[in-house]
Amino acid sequence: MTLVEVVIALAIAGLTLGGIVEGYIYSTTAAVKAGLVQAASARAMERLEEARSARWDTASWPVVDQLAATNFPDEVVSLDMPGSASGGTLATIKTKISQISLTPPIRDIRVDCIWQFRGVETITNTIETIRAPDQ
Amino acid sequence: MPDAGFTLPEILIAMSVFLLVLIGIISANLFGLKMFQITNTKLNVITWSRETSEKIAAEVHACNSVWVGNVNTNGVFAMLLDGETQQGTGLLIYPTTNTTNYIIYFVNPSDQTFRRTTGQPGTAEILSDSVTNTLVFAAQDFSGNVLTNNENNRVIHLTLEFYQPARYLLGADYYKMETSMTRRALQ
Repeated sequence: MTLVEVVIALAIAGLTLGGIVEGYIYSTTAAVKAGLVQAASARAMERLEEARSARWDTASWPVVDQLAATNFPDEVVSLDMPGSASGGTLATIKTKISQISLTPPIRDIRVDCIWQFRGVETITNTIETIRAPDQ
Repeated sequence: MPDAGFTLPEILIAMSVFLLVLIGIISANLFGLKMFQITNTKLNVITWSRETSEKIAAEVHACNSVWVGNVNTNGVFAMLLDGETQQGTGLLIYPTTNTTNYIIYFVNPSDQTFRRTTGQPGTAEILSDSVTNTLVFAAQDFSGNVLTNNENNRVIHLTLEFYQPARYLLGADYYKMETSMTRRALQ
């Protein structure tokens, strides 16, 4: 076995080990990201449920209508705890409420939870639903 | 006779190379073990929080009434009254008007578990562990303000904070999930 053969064999072994280590790092990063995606989705759902609980009663007099965009301003929230592996990720929750139909009265509620994964990749979790008064 | 065997320098070099490769393999293995444990912990917590929140959300959506309260050391649920801040360790759900049929979710601070039990004997189950916060449930208005009464169209807010202490080769890890759910059949 010559020196060149040994060096080539070592290089191949190094590349293989590097690939294995890279795979482990990727899987851990993916798990952290999955946790944040779930937390973001839960936050978006939180805002959606708040919008569903807002009173919109067209049968009463005067009409009660809390389901307005001004009642759901943009909000910055934390997706995890400081000190966690993801380092305290902040997200902005945006709510858009639009009238789909007047008769029957139906509105569309769209919630976007926008955040950055490790300051590099911008991710948006979106949940959308429609609702009628008194629901 | 040059073909009779290896010289001492050849054996030393071969052993050094072998040792280097062995150290590399062992290091990669230990690193992989550490990464696996981090991933395993994270995925466990994600699974617990997802299953827990999905279950509670489905039951709150469909229920007849829901109450925030505290579960004492004897396992008795005490609902919060009007005038009290609607934050507690437990949640009582009545799926129907029959009050003997109920579901309770609560945190047991002594072993940091999050549990579910019902009116039927033998149905208690642990949904997750390593839960470090005690005020898990809150009743809020649509703006996210914690209520002091049992307002009809309130939002039930769930906060789960998980903490895994540092272990061999691993630092401590935290995870938090917050979400809300509203009863669909508002009366």
